[in-house]
Order: sequence, then C-alpha cells, then structure tokens
Amino acid sequence: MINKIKLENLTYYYRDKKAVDDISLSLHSGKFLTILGPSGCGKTTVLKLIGGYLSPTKGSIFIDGIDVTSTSACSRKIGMVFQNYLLFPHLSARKNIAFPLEIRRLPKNECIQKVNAISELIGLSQKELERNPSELSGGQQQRVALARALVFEPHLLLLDEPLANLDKELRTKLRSELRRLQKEIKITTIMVTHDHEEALSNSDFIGVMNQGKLMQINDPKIIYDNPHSVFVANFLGQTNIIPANLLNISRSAMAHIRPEKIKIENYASECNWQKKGTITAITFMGADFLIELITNEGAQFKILSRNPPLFSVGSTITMGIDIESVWLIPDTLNDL
Amino acid sequence: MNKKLISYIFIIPALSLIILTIITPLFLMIRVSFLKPPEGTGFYIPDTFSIQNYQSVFDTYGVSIIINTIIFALEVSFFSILFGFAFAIIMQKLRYLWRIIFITSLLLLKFISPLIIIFGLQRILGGHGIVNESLITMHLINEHLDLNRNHIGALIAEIYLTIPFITIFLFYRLNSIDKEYLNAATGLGASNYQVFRKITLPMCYPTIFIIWQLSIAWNLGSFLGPLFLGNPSNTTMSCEVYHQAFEVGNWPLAATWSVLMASIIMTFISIPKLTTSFILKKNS
Repeated sequence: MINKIKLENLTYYYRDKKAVDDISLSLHSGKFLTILGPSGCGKTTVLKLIGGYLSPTKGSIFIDGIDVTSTSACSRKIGMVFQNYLLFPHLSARKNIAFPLEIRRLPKNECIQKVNAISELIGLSQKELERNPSELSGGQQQRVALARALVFEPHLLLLDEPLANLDKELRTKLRSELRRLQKEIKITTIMVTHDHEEALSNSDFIGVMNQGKLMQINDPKIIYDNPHSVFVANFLGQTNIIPANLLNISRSAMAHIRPEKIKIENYASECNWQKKGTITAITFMGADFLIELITNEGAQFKILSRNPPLFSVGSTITMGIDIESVWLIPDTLNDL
Repeated sequence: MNKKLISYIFIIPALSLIILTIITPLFLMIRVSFLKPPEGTGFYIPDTFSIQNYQSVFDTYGVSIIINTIIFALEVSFFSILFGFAFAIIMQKLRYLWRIIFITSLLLLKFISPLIIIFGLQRILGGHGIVNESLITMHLINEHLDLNRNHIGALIAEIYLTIPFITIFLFYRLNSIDKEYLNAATGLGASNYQVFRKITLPMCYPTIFIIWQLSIAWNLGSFLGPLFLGNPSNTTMSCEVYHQAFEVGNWPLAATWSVLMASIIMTFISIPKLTTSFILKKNS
C-alpha cells in the first residue's frame, strides 16, 4: 500500500527555538491520524508545514509519493479546518463552501451541485447555507468549515483542534460524526488535539508530541497500554507509574499500569500480586470512582472502581494487580 | 430632578455650540443668498428678497461649474483611493523601520500648510520643474509637458492633498485583517491575486465606502488645486465663492454658491445612507 503522506526528518525553527524536531512518519490512504500533545508542543506547526503555510527548515514532505516540500499551499490541494474555523465573514455559508470551487473556476451548475451534495452529507440545511458566519452557532460554523475543506476533494484533510471551541455535549456528537464522515469519504485525515479522549476515540493512529518531538506513534490501544515514555503514559490519561521492584519485578525500570486494571477487595484475590493500602481520597468521576491509596512502603496508587466504594477515607483495603498486565516503560529501562 | 431633564441640561452646552457655530451661520448664509446683489457700492442691498442669485447660478455657466466640480471630486476620490490603496499595500509589506518612515512622511504632509505644498507642486510640475527636466534628461520626451495650469495639474494637487489620510485609513484597515483568513484562502487554493480580489478587497469595502464619502465631501470643496494649478475652465464652486466674495464683492451670489455647495455635499453623503437603510428595511 502506498503512503498517502510521508514526513522525513521534518524540522522547523521558530526564531532560535526548534518548534518541530526531526519528525518522521507515514500514513496510509484513508487512515485517521491524531497528533496529540500539550499546548506549544509544535503540533499545529506540523499541520501548517504539511499544509504549506510554513516552510520546513529541514526535511521533506511527500504526498502520494511526490515531494511537495517546496510546493506552495495553494497548489497542494489539502483541505484544512482551523481551530477558529476562519470562515470569511463577508460571505454566506454557501459562498464560503463554494469558495474553493469558484477559485478553480468550476462551472456554476457544478459548484451548486457539489455544495449541495457536501452540505447534505455534513448536515447543513438550505436555510443555514444562506446565513452569514456570524449568524451560525459554533457547531454550524464547524460544519461549514468542514464542508469548505472537503468540497474540492482534497488529497488530505487537516484538522486543527476542530472541536476545541464547542461545549462537551456537542463535541462528543460531532466527534463521532467526524469519524463517520471520514470513513464514508475515505479521506486521509490528520487531526491535532490536546484532548486524549478525542484522540483515543477517533483515530486509527495516535502520534504523541512533546517539545517539538514525536514521542511515539501507534495504534490507540497499543499506545494507551504500552507507552514508550512516562510523558506518553501520563498524557493519555490517569495512570500509575511506580518502580518495578515494588511489584516484585526484578527489573530496573518504571512500571505502568492504568487505574482501571487494578482490582480491589474480593476481586484482588484473583490477582497474582496483592498489597494492602490506606485510602487517602475518593473522587466521584461520574461513571466511576477514583480511589487514591498509599501502601506501607509509601507507594501511591490510583484505582478506578465502577461500583460505589463501601469504605471511606482512612480505611485499609487490599488491591491486586495481574503482573502480566504491567508494562515496563522502555525509556526507563536501565538494566539492558 | 427627573433624569430626562438632567440629560437635557447636559446637552445644552454642546447644543448651544452647534447652534452658534453651524446652524446660525448657515441660516444667515441662506438669508444673504436671498438678498439683492450690490449696485455700485457695498456688498449687498439690505432688507431685500430676490431669487435672482439662484437663477444666475443655474444658467449655462453656473451649471458647467457645478458639473465640473462634481466630476472633479469624483476623479480625485477615485484616483486617491486607487493610489492610496496601492501605497497602503506597499506600506504593509515594508519592514518596521521603513513603515514608520512612510507613515511619518504621510503625517508630515498633513502638518504642512497646503499652500506650501501647492507652491512646491507648482515648482515640481512647472515647465522647468523636476518632472519635466528628468524626463528630458532621460530622453523620454523632447518637449516640456503641460502639467501646470491645466486639469492634470489641479488633479495632481488635490490627489496629493487627499492621499495621506486615505492611505493611513486603508493601511490600518489592511493591518486589522487577521492574516489567518488570507492563509485559509491560500490553503483552499487561491493565488495571491485571488486572495486580494476575493478576501482582502471585500473586507476593506466598508472602509473604502466611508473614505469615499469623506473624500467626496472634501473634494466637492476643492479650492487650492484648481485655483493655483488649474486653469479657468477648471473652476470649482469653491473658486466661484472666493471669486464672488473677495474679488467681485457680490456677497449674495457667493452665499448662493455656498448654499448650493453645502446642499450637494449633504446629498452625496446622504444618498448612500438612505439607499442602505432602504435596502435594509426592504430585506427585513
């Protein structure tokens, strides 16, 4: 299978700072990659380099096997949805969507057909299409921006935190719609976000970035369970990172185990490692309870429990871990 | 004391100033325009009423002055906006230091007396001025060009006086456009020209519209350019006011021209506003 997009040693300096540090990755056609990372880690810069809005200091970008590193943004045929959508305020939603078609001088009838088709697919009514961007809600604006980025059938779709400005309910709804649409159109997509839930639920692959570096790229399940570094482990949600010897593993490394994999009380007896600990806090998380406890050795653990706990802060309980489910973080291995 | 009354009391100083400095002189001017012109001595015949000034303003000569003034104002506004836009774009592309120098130069033009500028332009555009001499030295022309004392001279002078404020207005408008919009348009496939034509320019339309109104209002009163760098066929309404008031001493006719000029300016400012509100009302 040919790589739809390939980045080779991509580096970008902003003034004296290395904003993107030697990034290489490749993505097959029709796949959804999410670049995840904290604010200022360089993820939007990577997107802008791919889109042609910035020129890399070093490295190459290939689309369909063709080197586009020095191709201008207007010739790359890449659709991009910006964080604040950037809908042209002087044009109606319809004209915004038709913009990429009009500048390509497509016949008027074809423009109308394509705009109607994409609007229907994305769920924009004719009434909404006649409105100006300022008259649309955040969700509608996001749909218009998406329609505008897709209407000219780009090689690649770039999404720069497209759901960041929406409330949680709408974000969850649009997140699944986005995935449905991506699968339906089969367009290769790269999305940038700092929300790990968004990344885990939507992507075929996740790339975690920190300080301009791509720390790890892999399948969401693998990256969640088997992070290569403490940073990746922490960034993908609540976790326990403890010295391996505390779990009776004779390796000099940090062990990683997600809170939902630790069992308590009766269920702990099924596990091959058990320990008693004192509860220091119980937090209600909606669907789960987060229990924090400390062992006699001073090791702190976080445990997610679906059922309301029958004990309170200060009580001593038994926890259990299946040692097979413990992952030793490769970056922390010192005894190789 | 009730709130309405307090607000009226606060309005009184501003209202008095408007009545004293604008409305009263305007009414006095309108009254003078209906007086009979002087016969022999004096500037008008007091305690008379006549519409003969208005009749003489609308004779063939008067109408030609009115048309000439309107066309001239439209020409100056058009070219000032055109060149002002070009300068504003150049300024935007300049480096910070050059930009500051450019803005300062434009502002300096506004601080210098227009008379000095006109005098300078007379020297520059004259038969042996720098423009003609340079063109002859470069062998681009064989004879001196007529840039002074004609329509082109008057036009250059008025554009020169109008362009600084237009350029600065447009520069600030261009600067206030979020560059990300232009990036977004480029990413969607637009060339630099298409970005300018479809995004930058339409986003500047409201500013251009306001500038056009101001420029028209200003240039309907064009005086220095046509008087010092134009010829008699370029006479504008302001030149005629000056001629009648200070050279002929016919104050009623000068007042009539002034009333007419104020009316035309008001019309040019009101028409777009009335049209816009009519369209908005119709659409709502």
